[in-house]
Amino acid sequence: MIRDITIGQYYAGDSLIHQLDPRTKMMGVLVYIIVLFLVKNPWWYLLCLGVILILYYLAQVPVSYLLKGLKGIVLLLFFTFLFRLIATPGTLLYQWGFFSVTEEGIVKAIGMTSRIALMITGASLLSYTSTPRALADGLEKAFSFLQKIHVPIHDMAVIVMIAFRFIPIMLEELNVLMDAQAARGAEFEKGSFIRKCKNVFTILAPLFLSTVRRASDLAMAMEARGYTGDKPTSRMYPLTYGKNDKLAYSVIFLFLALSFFFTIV
Amino acid sequence: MINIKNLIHKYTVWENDNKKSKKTALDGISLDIPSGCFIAILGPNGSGKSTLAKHLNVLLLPDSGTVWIDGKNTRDQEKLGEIRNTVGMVFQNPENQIIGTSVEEDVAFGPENKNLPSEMIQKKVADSLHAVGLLHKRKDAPSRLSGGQKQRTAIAGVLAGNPECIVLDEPTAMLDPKSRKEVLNVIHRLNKENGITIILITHHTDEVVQADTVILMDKGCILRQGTPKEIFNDLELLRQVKMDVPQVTELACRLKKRGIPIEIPVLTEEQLIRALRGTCSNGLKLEGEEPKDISGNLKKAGDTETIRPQQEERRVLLKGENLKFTYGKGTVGETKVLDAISFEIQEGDFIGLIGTSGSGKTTLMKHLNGLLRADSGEIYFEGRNIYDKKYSLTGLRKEVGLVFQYPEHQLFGKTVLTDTMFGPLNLGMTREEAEASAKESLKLVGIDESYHSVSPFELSGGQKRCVAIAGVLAMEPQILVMDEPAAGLDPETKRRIFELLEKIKKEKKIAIVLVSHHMEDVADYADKVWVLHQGRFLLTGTPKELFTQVGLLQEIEIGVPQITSVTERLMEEGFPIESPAVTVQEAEEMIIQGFRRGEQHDS
Repeated sequence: MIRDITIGQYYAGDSLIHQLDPRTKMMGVLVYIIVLFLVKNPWWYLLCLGVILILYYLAQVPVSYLLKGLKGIVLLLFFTFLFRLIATPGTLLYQWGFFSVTEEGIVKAIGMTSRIALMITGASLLSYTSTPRALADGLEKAFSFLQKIHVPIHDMAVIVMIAFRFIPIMLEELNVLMDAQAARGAEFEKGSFIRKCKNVFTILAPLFLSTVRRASDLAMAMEARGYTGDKPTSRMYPLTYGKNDKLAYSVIFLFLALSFFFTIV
Repeated sequence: MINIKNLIHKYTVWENDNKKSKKTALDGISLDIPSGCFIAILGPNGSGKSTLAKHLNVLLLPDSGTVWIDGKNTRDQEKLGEIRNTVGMVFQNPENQIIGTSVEEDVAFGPENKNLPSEMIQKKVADSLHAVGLLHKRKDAPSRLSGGQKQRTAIAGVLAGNPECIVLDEPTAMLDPKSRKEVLNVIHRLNKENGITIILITHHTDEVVQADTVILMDKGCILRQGTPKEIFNDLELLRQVKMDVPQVTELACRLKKRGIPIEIPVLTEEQLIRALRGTCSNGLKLEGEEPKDISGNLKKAGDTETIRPQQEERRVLLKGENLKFTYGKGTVGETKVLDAISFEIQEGDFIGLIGTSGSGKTTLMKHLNGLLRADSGEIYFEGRNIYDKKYSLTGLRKEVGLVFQYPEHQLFGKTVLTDTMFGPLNLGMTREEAEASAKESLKLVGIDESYHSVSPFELSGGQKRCVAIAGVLAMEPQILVMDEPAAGLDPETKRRIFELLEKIKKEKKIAIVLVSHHMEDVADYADKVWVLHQGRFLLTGTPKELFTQVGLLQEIEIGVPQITSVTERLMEEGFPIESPAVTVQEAEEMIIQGFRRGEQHDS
C-alpha cells in the first residue's frame, strides 16, 4: 500500500508540457478543476477526458501512469459511486430494502466519480511533468506578493522542496523498519487494538529518531554549502514565461470562457 | 593553506537530567596543511577525526586555540562565507547530504546560495558534474543513483563552489567496494589534475596508502604524522590504536620475520610483487626459518579438507528450490531479482552470501524467513513447505533470525532488556522465559548486567549493534542471517562483531548466513560461499575453491581479498605458488614454501 503513493513522482522528459512554466501548469490545473465543478452536462466530462488524453499524449507520459494515479484512490471512487447510486432521491428504478436506485442516482454517481477521477489524473499530470523543485519555485514566485506582509515564502519553498526529497527516503526507511520488526515476530495486521498500537510504536520511535538524525545531518550539509536562509539566492533555471506559455494561457482561458458560456447560457 | 594551533574542543554531555559534564574531543591539536596536498586522517571511532573536520568548515568553533584557513581566523564571523567557499565538505551518509530532488539541482544549491547569475550556475554545474563523471545523470533523481554516484554528486556539489580544499568525512564508510573505488578515483583525480587540497578522513588503512601525508589520531590527539611509509613502518603503533593494516603490508612484515629480505613497509600489491621478484632473482637463501612451524600451519590449512566429508551428514535446516522473484510486476519498473535460486542451509554452516549492490542479496535474505514470498519455487524448513497454507510464518521467523543492516537504528525499547525481550514476547514466550532468554543473549554478545536497565540509545555504536543482535538471538533461532553486520564500524569493533559471530556459532550451534560485499570478511570466517550475480548463483563453494576464480570475480566487480589478488599475480609472474591464497597466513606459508622449493632446486 505504502509503495503506491505517487506524490512527487516526476516522469523525466523533455516534451512540450514539461517545458511549460510550472506557474502556467498550475494555473491550468486550477482552471481545469474549476471547470469540472462548474459544468453540469455529463458530456463535458467526456470532453475533459479527451483534453486529458491529448495532454498526456503531448507530455509523452504513458497511459499506464494515468491509471497508476487512480490506483491509490480506487476505494474512494468506489464508495463515491456506491453512495451516490443508492442515496439520491428521484425516479425509482429498483428498490432493495432500505436502499433505492434512482435514475438521478445513476447520473449523479457517474458524474461524481468521473469528476474525482478526472481531477486526480489532471493533478497527477502536473507532478509527472514538473520536478518538485519547479513546483516549489512556481509556488514561491506565484505567492511572492505575500512576502510583503512578512510571510516567509522562500523558507516555505525550501521546506516543500526538502519534503519532496525526503518523502521517498522515509517511506523506504519505514519499509525497512516494518520488515525488521516483522522479523522479530511483530504483526501489524493481527492482534488486539492495544497490541497493534504497541507494534506501531516500535516503528515510530526509531523512525522519529532517524528523522531527527537526518535533519541534523541535512542542516549541517546545507550550512556547509552556504545556506543561511536570509540572504538573497538565485536560480539555475529562473522561471520565465516563453512563447508556449502565452499560447497555453490563451488556451486555458478560452477553455474557461467556453465552459462559462455553455453552462450559464 | 590550513593552520591549526593548539585546538581544543569540548562537547557538553548531558548525564541524567540536569547534570552536565564536558568531554574533550580534541585535546591540543596543532597542524599545518600546505596547499595542494593529499592528507589522510586515520583513527578509530571516537578519536576526534570528525570533530576536527567540522572545525575546518566552521561548523564548530574552537573552545581554545585557533584555526586559520588561508590566513582567515575561523572565529571571524564576517569571513564565514569566504571560508566556507574555500573549504568544501563531504559527509559520510550519502543520503542525508543531497538536498536537491535531481542531481543538477543539488549541485546548483551552493552557487544559488551565493546568488550567482543563472548562466554562471549552469556552467559551474555542468563543469562540476563533468569532473566527477556524472554529466549524463544530471536530470536523474538521487534515489535512482548508486551509493557511489550519490557521493560523487555530493563532491560535485562542493566543487561547484570552487573550493581550494575538500574535506571528506568517511565518504566511503557506507559504500560497497565498487562504489568506494569510484569515489576514491574521483578524489585522487581532483587532487592531481585540479590541484585541490584533499583531507580524507577514514578508518580504512588501504585508502591512505596513496596519500602524501597521514595523520594518525587517537583520543583527540595527533599520535603520529608522516608519509604512509613512515606510518606503516610502525605496525605496533597502528595495532595500539586498533587500526588494521593492508593485507600486503602485513604479509611483507611476516615474510620479513621469516627471513625473506623484503624492504618494509610494503604498501601496495605492485610493491610486494616487485620486492619478491627482486629477492627471487637475487637467488637469496632463507635464514632463520623453522620447519616445525610450517608443518603445524600446513595441518591447519588442511583442516577444512578433513571436515568436509562430515558436512554431508548434517541436518538440513532450510532448503530452497528454484526460487523466482520479480519486483513491481506489471509496471514499467518490473525487474527480475531472483532467477531460479536453489540452496541448502545445514546445521552448523557458516555461509557467506556475496554480491554487488543490486544482485538480489537482500531480496534473497528476506525470502529466508518468509518476509517476501517467491513468485514460484518452494522453501522447506526442516522438510516442511513454508508456503503451505497451514504453515505459521511467525513460527518460521523464530527459527530464522534476521538482522538487518544498521540494526542499531531499529532499536526502540525503553531499556536494553525490554528491547531484547520484544522478539521472544511476540513469539509467545512467557515473561520469565523471555527475560531469561534475553539475559542469556545479552551475556553472549558481551553486554553485562549493569546495562540491562539503561536506555539502548545511550550506548556506543558498537554496543547498540550488539544489543540489536541479541534481540534476534533471544528468539533462539536455528539460523541467523545477518546483512552487513560490520557496515560502518572501525576495524576493532568490526573484529569484535565477527569474533562474536564465531562464538555464537560455537555456543549456540546455529547456522549463520553472512550477507556482505566485503570479500575479506567472508574469506576469513565463512566455510561456504554463495556468489549472487544478477539474481543467479554464479559460483558456490568453499572460499578456497571460489577464489581460484579471481578473474571471474573481478569481472563481475565483486573483487577478491587483496591477498588473493596479489598471490594470483605472483602466480602469473611464475612464482612457485599452486593456487591463490585466501588468508594472509596461508599466503605466508605458500611463499615460504615457494622459496624453499626454489632453494632445493638450486642445490
